[in-house]
Amino acid sequence: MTDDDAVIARLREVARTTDPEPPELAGSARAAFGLYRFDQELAELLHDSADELTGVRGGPGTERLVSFAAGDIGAEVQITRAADGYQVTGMVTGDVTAIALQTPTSRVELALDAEGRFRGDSVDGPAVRLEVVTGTGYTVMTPWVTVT
Amino acid sequence: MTGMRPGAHCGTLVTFRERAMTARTVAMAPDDAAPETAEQDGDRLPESDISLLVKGAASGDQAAWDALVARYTNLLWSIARGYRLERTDAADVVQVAWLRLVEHLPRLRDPERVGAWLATTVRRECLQVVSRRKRDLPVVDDVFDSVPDTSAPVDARLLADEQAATLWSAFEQISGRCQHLLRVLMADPPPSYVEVSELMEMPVGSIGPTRARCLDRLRVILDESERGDSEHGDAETGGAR
Repeated sequence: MTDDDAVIARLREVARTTDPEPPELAGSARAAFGLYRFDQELAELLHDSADELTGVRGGPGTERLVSFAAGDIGAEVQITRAADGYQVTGMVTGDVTAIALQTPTSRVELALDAEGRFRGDSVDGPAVRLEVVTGTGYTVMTPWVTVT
Repeated sequence: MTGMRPGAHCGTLVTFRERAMTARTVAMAPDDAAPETAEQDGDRLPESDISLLVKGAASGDQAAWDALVARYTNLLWSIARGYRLERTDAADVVQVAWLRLVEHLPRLRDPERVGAWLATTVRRECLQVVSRRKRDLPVVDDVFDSVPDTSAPVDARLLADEQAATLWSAFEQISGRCQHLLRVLMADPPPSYVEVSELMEMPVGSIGPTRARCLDRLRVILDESERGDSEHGDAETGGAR
């Protein structure tokens, strides 16, 4: 081993001793695989107001607007920071029969009104997504939206 | 993956996992007992094996997925912490990268490049977190060099070993680009040079020389701090081995 290798090894040792990844991190990464589905369509992210540099910053009560599309299905989503997490509301368009709001550890089916509007209870981060079931029985997932 | 115990159905993958674990054990050994370095690719998972793991995961094999997690989680953590994210933010960013890999598994174009894909995802997420956090702060040009370091990546008080504290403090004074390269190289298990090349967007041939320059810079800072210490008469000596 060269001196350079030894220094890298020493840095590795120091990092592992003093700044190890949280012990639950690998576990949640392994558990993420439980969400894997072969057969779902991934919607396209059309717009995320968080990407706008001019946007107001995300303090409590600030609304973030995200839109998705997959074929004839569309979703407009508002994510609002609440005291105890994030509230997700919005509207779907197209032939949608059911939707669910997912976090890495939870899934809640949401009611749709006649106009396709929905409102979820407050959820925790670090990410949320919508599962949309179409009239033809297809499941469309939106990409994860990071909400930390 | 229905009802199969992880690892019970694919001997090859078990071997991969055991090798990954062995690498980790070696790297955690208390002395400098030569954890594999990136030059010694011979003993690391070749790209074709990485590709197999990705394909295994894409076909629903949890053991293959777990092997990917074992291989890349510390690398992703190291990269995220290089952006000086708080520990909780860094953990969220790494978790989101894995979630995004889950949703992209069936359509990943270059399975052998999954490490670079994950690292790129982590970087993008880090920049978003930094920009969200930064809206309170003055605008800065270079994320690596200019973000105020509020996260205290390493709490010097936790370092019983004063040498380690000095080394880490010197590490934090080298350039952002050098820190980034060394953070990739020091990941446990270390990535292959091919992966480093993709992660750093530099030719394989440049990695060695760049690494050498970064470590030279580190040594200069260490030398300077040693001289500073001796002038101050080695005030703190507690807790060494």
